[in-house]
Amino acid sequence: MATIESLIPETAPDAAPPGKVQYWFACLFAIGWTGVVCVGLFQQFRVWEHPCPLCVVQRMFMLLAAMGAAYIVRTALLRGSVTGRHYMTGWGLALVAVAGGSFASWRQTTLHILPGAKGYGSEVFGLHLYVWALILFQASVLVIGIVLATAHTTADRSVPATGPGLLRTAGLFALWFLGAVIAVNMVLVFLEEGYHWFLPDHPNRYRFFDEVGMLG
Amino acid sequence: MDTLIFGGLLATLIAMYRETSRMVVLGAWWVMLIAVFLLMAHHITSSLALTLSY
Repeated sequence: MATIESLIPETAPDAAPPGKVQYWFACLFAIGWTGVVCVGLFQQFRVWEHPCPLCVVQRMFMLLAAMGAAYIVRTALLRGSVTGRHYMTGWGLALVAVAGGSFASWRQTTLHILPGAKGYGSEVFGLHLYVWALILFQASVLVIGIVLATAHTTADRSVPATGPGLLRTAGLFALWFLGAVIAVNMVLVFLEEGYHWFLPDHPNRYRFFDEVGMLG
Repeated sequence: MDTLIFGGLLATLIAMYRETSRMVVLGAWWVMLIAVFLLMAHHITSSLALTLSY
């Protein structure tokens, strides 16, 4: 007589290709948002702009969203399997973060929405960075909804990323890239903030260098 | 404060990378989220010129 133990395999079956889509998308999501923060960093030095407090807050929300997807990646790297609870936890964190980021970017956009307003900073492809941020945060809400709605076919439990292979390489790259960009932001914001608790509303220099007397 | 929050984000990611318990990882993430919201609230000091309250 078959027992319930004999009906349930001890190890999760290998996932079919569509079943790993959510893992790959989690990698892409983490790398993508980290890349968006990199664009802000690139712009910071390309035209020598100083990010304002709300710009920095938006970067934090972007990194928090990336960490939601990183939670899914991390689970696969450590266990080789991702349960429905882990997928939902990761995407839930990402969704909360992009909702917060949407508010921050909306707030900054509306500061400069009146006719004649020049906006803060320079434009990229015709839009200010905080407007791009608003678009991308909103797009992420939509995409996370689609990801969750297709979970039956895209979120298999088995994600064999514990051993060498493309799955593990992509996951490790996503986590290390995210960590490196967080570290770079930490250093840069410290240089901009100096020995103060908060950034000024309109930062125009790296205050740390002034305070230690390196700029005259 | 911004520097400390980025430091906290990095610490949370490191906890995530190492095999730290789920409660610690998720707890740290939520603490960082609240810190970012408080920082944002600190920097919202004026109303918009749109007859809105934000």
